[in-house]
Amino acid sequence: MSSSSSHFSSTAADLLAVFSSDNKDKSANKRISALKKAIAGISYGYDMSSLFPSVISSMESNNLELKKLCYLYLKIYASVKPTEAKRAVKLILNDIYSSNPMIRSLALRTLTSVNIKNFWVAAMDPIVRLLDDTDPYVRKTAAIGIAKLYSYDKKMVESSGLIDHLKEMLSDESSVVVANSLAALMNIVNSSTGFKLTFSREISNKLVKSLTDCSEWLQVAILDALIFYVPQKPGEAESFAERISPWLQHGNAAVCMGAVKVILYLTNYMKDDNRVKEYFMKTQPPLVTLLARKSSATQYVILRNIQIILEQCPEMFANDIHFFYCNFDDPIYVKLEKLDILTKIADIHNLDQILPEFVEYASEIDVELVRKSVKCIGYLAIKIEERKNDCIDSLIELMNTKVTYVIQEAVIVIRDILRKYPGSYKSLVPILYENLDSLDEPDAKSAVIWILGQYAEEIEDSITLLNDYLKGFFDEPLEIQLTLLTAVIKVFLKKPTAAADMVTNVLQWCTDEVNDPDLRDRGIIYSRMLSANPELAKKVILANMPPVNVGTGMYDPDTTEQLMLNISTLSSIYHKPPNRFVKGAQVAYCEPSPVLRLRTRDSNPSNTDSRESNHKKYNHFHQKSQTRRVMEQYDRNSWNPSPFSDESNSNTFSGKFDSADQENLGMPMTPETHLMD
Amino acid sequence: MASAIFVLNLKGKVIISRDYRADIPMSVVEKFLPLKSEVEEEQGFSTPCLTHEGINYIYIHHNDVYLLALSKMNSDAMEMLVFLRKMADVFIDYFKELQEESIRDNFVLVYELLDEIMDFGFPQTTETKILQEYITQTSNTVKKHAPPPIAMTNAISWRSEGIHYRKNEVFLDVIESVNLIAAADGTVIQSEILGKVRLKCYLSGMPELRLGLNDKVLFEAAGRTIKGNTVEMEDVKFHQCVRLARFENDRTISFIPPDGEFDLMSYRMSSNVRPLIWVECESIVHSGSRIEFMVKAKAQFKKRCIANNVQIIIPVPEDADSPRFQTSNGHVQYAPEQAAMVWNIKKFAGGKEFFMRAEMGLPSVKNEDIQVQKKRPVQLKFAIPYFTTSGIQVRYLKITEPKLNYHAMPWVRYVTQNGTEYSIRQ
Repeated sequence: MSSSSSHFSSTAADLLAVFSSDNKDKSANKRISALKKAIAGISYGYDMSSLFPSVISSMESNNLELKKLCYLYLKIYASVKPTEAKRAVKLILNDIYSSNPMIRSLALRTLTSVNIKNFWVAAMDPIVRLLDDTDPYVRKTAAIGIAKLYSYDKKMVESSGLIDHLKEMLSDESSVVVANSLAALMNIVNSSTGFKLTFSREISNKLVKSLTDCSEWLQVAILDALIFYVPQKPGEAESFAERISPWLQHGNAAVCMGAVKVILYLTNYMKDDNRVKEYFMKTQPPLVTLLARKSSATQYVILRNIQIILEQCPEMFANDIHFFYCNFDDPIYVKLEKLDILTKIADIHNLDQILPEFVEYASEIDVELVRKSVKCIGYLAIKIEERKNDCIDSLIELMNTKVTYVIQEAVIVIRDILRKYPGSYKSLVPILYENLDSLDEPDAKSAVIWILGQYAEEIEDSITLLNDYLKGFFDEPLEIQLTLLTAVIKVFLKKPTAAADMVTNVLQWCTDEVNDPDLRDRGIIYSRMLSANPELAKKVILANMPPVNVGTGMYDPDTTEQLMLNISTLSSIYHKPPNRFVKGAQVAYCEPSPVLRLRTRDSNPSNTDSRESNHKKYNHFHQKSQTRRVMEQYDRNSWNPSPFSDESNSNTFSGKFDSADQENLGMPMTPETHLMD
Repeated sequence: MASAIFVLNLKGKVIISRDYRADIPMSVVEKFLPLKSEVEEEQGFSTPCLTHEGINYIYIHHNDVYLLALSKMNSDAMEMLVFLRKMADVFIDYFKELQEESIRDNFVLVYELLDEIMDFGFPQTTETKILQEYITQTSNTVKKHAPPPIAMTNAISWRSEGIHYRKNEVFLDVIESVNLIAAADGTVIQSEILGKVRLKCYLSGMPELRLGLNDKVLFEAAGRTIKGNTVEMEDVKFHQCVRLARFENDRTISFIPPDGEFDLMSYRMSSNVRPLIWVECESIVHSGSRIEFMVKAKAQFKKRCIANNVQIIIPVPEDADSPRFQTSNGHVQYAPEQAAMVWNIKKFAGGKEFFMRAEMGLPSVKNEDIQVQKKRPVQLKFAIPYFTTSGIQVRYLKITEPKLNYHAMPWVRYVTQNGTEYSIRQ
């Protein structure tokens, strides 16, 4: 191999001289050397396009190495010099008929890799011929070629009959050809709107048999395809799941995850609840093993997927919580996912082990981890009512460390605890009072302002404190302004004489001086309520709020189903159905079948609560907030805030003051105020 | 599947790339590092999969390069990440090390590899031994009219025909990594054994191998009387050469091995491991001028075993200076970049106890800082040859080559070492 300095020193002119010296075969080595230098030059950013005619002439060589280099050069420069490139088509077609299958395959791959119409139109006939080639390596290249042509010109391929040819390749004698044809077919289906893919039991049986004979990458393709098989008879899904189970123990994580996906998909078509749970539990050991891999990226994918699976099988890790303890040198994004999962699987029985872990993490150096841990402890105080005292004691203990960001995070969750347990834990209020100086973040300030309004009777200096916050009213973000307005109204209703000046000022500011329409309109509403009927206003504004309920899942059942069908894909990483981040992506769902399980909502105990309309509305709102936060994290630009704002506005401006509106009047619902964001 | 693959340096500059689908403008790669930085700034951290304006960025970081896959579709994220990892392994097999310089020195070879390991964004093969048979660069043995390697389309995609060794040998290494998190009071919070059986095969032809372990499930299934120790593995993962369906059926580990070195299997056990090496560390702060440490290390494994190259990493305040050490065994060095002292013990025999005292100056002390420092755990590194924590044993390795009928000798070694996490909280 020539040294890099040699590559640098060569110019296109120098290399051109080599090509024109003579045309005999014995000069192949010189041309090879020149082409290597040219390609290296291209990679360094030099313009080597003047060599194009010479390279095309060299394509006629029988030397495989030289031919490969010529084709590589062609692929790099074809789009830059299409006119020159077209002259190569004839030469490539000659290679299609080479006696060497390596060259046949290489030629076809090149022909289908260049997005110039002359190239892929010329590829149409050879592909049909090479689908019948004697060598399976060539056949599989032809199969993939059809998917390439489809990406260039859908209509041409659809009208040519190539897709039917591709379907026939699913019956090829070589498993490699079958699997590549399958991948090509799936790619076509995924990028079109006109096709719907289902596999018969016969085809699916053949695919499962092929698993044994394929390389690991083709196994991934086959497993991907098996979710297009829809069991029709009792016992069919179980039979298939049993035959796929061995691949849970494949060393390639992608194969293992593919097996997990298919098995969990098939549980949708099993009748026996115990059997379904059995298969969920069967996927647990391999998932844990992948979690123990050294690769943080792999761990991250596994953890994101486990969160989805826990939506359907919450007890999956009930006895194995230690798999999710943080290692000291885990990257932060792995640690945060582990905390989410620990919180999800925490219950009255394992809290004795989980809570000390969170306290430990809340003393770590990493600020993000500390904040998350404090938040999780607050969440657990709400989730596991029987153990709320232990959690709250831990929060108090942590606040006593006087670490600023711990206090701010603790204030936010204490606000939620006070809402969850109204009338209880008023002893927390003086503790907050002692720490007011530490609060400078919007979320924390918003929480404490809410507390000042809600518990004005318990806080002797609530008016003085609110006045301190009001000094900066015009400089605060809208979220805090809305919270301040509501808090001031509450305090006035509880201490009318002492708060009279404060409320007059604030209402005047909101109605006359601020520009924001939301804030102004809310101010007007409050003003009119107070002047028209103070007693009614008191009933409305100070009414008990709907309870905080954290028992429901992260997502609604439809979304969970979508994510379960996309295990291991990007969808499972972002926690978004594919159509939310891929233009034109199809929405997957479990096909109807005589053996399809009905999704039983009755089995979810929190559904009992959901019969209350208030609770339903609250949950709905929570879902929106959660979705928004997730979307912001991964695909900021695709987020369209209008629908969310519209709904919020709609609630705000409702003419009736029923209890749903009290929720908004009593406390602004902004995404940041929710637990577990 | 991927639309394009890039190798970037740490400044986000493209070293080499391959566009497989022509459905994403190549200029979007310039947004990768700004996007990553933006996510890190807003969120505090970045994740291996990012998305922006309909483009997905999936990447791994290795030495001074990023391996990046772009996708417009809902790709299999695990497949892409594993593929990038295997791609890195292929480059390492060829170049010995993967870094910007080695890519630049081998542009043509990398282009050819990128062409063969993936077609239209579909992974094809990442078996280096197979690739070497038809990659033309750096190979002088490729014939002009060589057909594609049979392994490319054969069921046995990992092994070529016609391999020949004058002396046929197999070497097995059983390597157990022990993960442990323990509290200062001796409570084991988490413990786990991650084992690996690594083979080096120098075998001719197409040999069939069968591996026998003291597998509890296997013994019980066979209804055999248990004599001696058996082990129960919670989960096992195999190289693709192992016949998974057969193992699922009767726990037989049978396979045709790839040539050379490979990981045959990995296993996991969550047994209650007693800490193999225990460390107690007391620290006293003397009125804002110095901090004193008393450290005791105890080897809690069989006396006939010896731990080699033991490292005990003890966190110290970041602003400590003027270190002084006394120890009965090994030597201690101060590692300021880690804010730790490292106690190196070359040989640590089972049952022994070693002591170390350290004293360091402190320019200033705040209780809050001390508290934060105390939260970093003591970490250990060690290797104990001829020992497995789990008690796993290789009972036999049968080697059969139907046509060549040679005799091959298997060799077995065992070692226990620290896992990625072996730490004692303070």
